[in-house]
Amino acid sequence: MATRIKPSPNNPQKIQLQRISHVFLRHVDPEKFLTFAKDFGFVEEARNGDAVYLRGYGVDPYCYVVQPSTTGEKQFEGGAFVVKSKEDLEKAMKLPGATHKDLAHLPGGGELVSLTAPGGGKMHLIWGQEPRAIPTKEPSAQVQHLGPYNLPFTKDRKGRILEQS
Amino acid sequence: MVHKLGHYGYISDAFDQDLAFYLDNFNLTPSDILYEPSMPELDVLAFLHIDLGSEFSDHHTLFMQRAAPGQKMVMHHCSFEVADFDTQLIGHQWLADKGYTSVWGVGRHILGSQIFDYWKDTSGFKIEHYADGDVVNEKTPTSRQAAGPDTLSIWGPPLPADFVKAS
Repeated sequence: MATRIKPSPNNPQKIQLQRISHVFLRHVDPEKFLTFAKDFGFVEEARNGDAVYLRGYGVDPYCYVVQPSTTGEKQFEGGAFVVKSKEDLEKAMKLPGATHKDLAHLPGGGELVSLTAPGGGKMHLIWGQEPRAIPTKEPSAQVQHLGPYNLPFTKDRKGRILEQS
Repeated sequence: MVHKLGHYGYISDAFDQDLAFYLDNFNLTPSDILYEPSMPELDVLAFLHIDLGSEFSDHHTLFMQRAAPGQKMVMHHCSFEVADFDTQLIGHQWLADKGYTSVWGVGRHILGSQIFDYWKDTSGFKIEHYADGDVVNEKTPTSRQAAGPDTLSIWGPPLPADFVKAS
């Protein structure tokens, strides 16, 4: 039995991921979770059918998909990754059990291919989704400007950072 | 506000087959591997990053932990990025004031270096705020070491006893 992880260097035949995008989770009480999600720092972007799409302030039109449970218990339904090209999506379609969905009706559009790992976990690949425009500066609730930390021996940050002049 | 999804991870009862699936079909590669201290040939946790060649990417976007004998597959947590340490502490106090359940944090991880803060959502899923994580590229060597509480944080509250076990 293989118990040490085998190195598997990248090659062009592999499906090329660009970045991670969103996760799918099913909740017994989605509305109760949505109150938590707002407090946690998500923004509701859209609703479609029984799904609620939450976003942050990054390029992804949504980073968390909330759906009601189908079993009476919480369910994790995998993460979605943006692939580099349409060819990568086509490669994924050739894997056993792959399913394809058109996302034209959702924020950013695109296409989604869903896969099942050998242990039964889901993984999804997305391509053709229009990214969001991002703010020029990270929103921070109270901190106006950070810059480098002032260390005991080296105070590289000059002047005031929090007090409005 | 959160910026984006950073990573998620799960405990797999088909660890070797699942890892082979991710490593052989995709440009995912281990940043850090942990092995069982009593069985040095048994890898039990892998932090995978997206291999973008010379371009840097987050230390891990997916991690997988080997299930204990008899344990079923279960999601461990999802993690979302916030701007900075100050925002994390503001968020921690905000969630605490609302009466939500803190799981572990605020602290700083060793593998990936993120400042972390884990919470239990209203459904019982673990969810993390992180900031200031490492980025890696093809020149960053894969590291392999024994698993244990000392590999998890450089500072922060004590590790909760059940942290590594379930969602």
